[in-house]
Amino acid sequence: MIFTGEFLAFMGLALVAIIGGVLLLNLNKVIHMVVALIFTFVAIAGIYVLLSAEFVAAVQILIYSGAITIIMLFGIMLTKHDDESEAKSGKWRKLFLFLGILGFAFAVYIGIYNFNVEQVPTKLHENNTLQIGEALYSKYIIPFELTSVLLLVALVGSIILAKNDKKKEADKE
Amino acid sequence: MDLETLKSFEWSVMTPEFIILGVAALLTLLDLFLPKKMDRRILGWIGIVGILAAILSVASLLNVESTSILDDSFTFDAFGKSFKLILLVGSALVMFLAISYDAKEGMEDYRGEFYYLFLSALLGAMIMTSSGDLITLFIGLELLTVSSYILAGIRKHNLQSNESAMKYVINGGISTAITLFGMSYVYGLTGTTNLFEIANKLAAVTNGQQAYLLGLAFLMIFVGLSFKLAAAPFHMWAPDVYQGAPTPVTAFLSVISKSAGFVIVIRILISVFYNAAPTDNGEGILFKMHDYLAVIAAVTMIIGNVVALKQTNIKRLFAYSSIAHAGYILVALTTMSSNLLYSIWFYLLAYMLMNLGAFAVIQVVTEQAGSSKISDFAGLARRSPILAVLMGILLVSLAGFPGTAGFIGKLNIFVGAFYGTPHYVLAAIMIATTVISYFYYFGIMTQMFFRPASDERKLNIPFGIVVVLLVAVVGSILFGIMPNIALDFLNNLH
Amino acid sequence: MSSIPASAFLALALILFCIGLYGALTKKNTVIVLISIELMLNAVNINLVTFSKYGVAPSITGQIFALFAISVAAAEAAVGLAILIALYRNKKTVNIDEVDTMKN
Repeated sequence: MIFTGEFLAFMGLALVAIIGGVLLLNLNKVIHMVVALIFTFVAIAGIYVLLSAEFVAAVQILIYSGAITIIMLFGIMLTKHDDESEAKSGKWRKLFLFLGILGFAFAVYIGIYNFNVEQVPTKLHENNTLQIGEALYSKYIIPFELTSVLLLVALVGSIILAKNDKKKEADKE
Repeated sequence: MDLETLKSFEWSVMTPEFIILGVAALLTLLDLFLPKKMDRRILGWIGIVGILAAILSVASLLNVESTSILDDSFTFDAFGKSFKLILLVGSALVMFLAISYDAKEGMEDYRGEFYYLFLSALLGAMIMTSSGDLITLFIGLELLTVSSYILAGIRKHNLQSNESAMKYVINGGISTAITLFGMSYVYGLTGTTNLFEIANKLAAVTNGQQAYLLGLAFLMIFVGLSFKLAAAPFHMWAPDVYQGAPTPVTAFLSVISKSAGFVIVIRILISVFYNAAPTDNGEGILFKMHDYLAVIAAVTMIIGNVVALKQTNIKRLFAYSSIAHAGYILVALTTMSSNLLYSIWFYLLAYMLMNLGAFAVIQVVTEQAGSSKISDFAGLARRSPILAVLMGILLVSLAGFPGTAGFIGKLNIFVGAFYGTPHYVLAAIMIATTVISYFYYFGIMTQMFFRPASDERKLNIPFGIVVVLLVAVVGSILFGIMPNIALDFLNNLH
Repeated sequence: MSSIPASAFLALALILFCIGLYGALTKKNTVIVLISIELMLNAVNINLVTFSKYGVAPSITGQIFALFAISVAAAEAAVGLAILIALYRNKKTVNIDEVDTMKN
């Protein structure tokens, strides 16, 4: 294996991503967990750049590192959190789950460890955004429009569920 | 692809979807601009008119040849037509339930949203019936799921409704991620999201490692989708969610959402994996995974029926009963008999009729009693003899007695289990669990006919409930006596 | 060509997926459970983007699928959080193991 710059970049990013994930599992304070995951999200954006998906990388930074992390932080601050979040169940259940997931990981790993198909040169990096746009607005127009309905539903739903009906509260008191 | 190509597609086959989308958009706007004091039930009636219009437009398109738009992003075929009809009729009945539902506990102000969220969920389900593209199927699935999350939690001052929605979101999120993980490997091994191209490419897979990965992908997709079916191992959410959600939403989840789940399972698993990575004797992945499917079907039937026995809450009981029914349909899926599509379609039709009818009665009784205990049904025969008799017929059909649609549905699946390689064990489990189910269905009957009523008030039955009950009971008996109507209908589709 | 084998990316995705799954199944705080689910979806996206470059038949479709998955994840996160806030108003807790009033 040759230690090219690309390889070093991958190793660095992968390490940051995994450390962020492990910290999510092991830190004690809820806020710290979310902040640890920001590192993972940014590192994943870097991985996308290595895979010549610049547009997805930009979206990843905007949506995950930006929007989703922020609303999660809002969620933590709007609710009274115990500050600490340890496991919800006994050691045995945790151990059992851990072994189960380890088994799953191993089973999948057997399937992918030498997944190497012949690499063909791709043109993904040339005008990446243009290519995505063209496909999105022609071949994938139906799911694209449906996604807009989905986002509208999510918007309406979030508002009606999270809205504080002040009038009702006042009536009760 | 330029504008001319886009215009050249036969967009008219999407009319039913456009109608539902248009009505949902119309309701959103009306809800926004109508005066605050006005009764929002009118929006529900508009919704019903919209669904009926969509049913008519599907009916008028029945003779249209199979068409596909945009690289199979939307395919209009016999499969889509037949299942779309079940979804539409079921949704119309659910809307009748929703109109009769007494809004309280925080949803008084949100009746309008209540109606159009049903429509958006229905739109997602309809897209799932007629898409040949993984991305479109996935977006349809999520449109249905996200709308259902909100519907489950819409009684927001009710703690049970909140809890039910929370559990639904968490279980749903995990299962979505697992399904997608499986789909990503399928994409990786084929490089396309078009189901037919995927099927062609997978049929040529000979590499052992790729076949292994494909098997794992199959399992992940199936496990993730079993959440929608409320089948084991992802059935744990169902009882809590069904109990906490408003009754029309429970009816929707147990019928429409479950039917849509079976639709997507058939679409993806059968069309993609049937011939995938064939062994030397030409058997695809699906045959290798056959034993897993059989285990899941058996476990689902056993868990559903046995746990239902000790329930004291009627909605929880119906949750377990719906798990059990999913198990019966999985038997049909496992046996892969030649009448697979017919038996699943017929079972879903019968299940839709009898379950929605039962939920109509449950809604009347629980609203009057203010709780959903089974003992609230005590003395129903005295309080409202007609309601008790109708519920009796529906329960007999759910239990699968001869002369009802439920019996024919079970018979089709049972006979199918002996096509090709016979599945004695599965058939035996099916019979045994059906017998177990008699106990809890007749437990409700005993309450209704032989127990004294604790509450002697007469029940007032709203108009919407009457409609649902009539359709349900007439349908259950009609398809029980003359199932060939349905068979002929399905055979004449093309 | 690239010096990094495709399996390295796939392995990274697998590790993150398993971390997310473990977190979603064991954590007590609902916000953390939701964000663990987001981590699982991120792992899926790494898979999709990897396959769009190094798959059996590379194509832009993988990136498009990833974009759809991201928008769905955002919608799910928003709805999940709204439900959490509604629940919190009634129950004053965000701990998933205390959400159990519906046992018989």
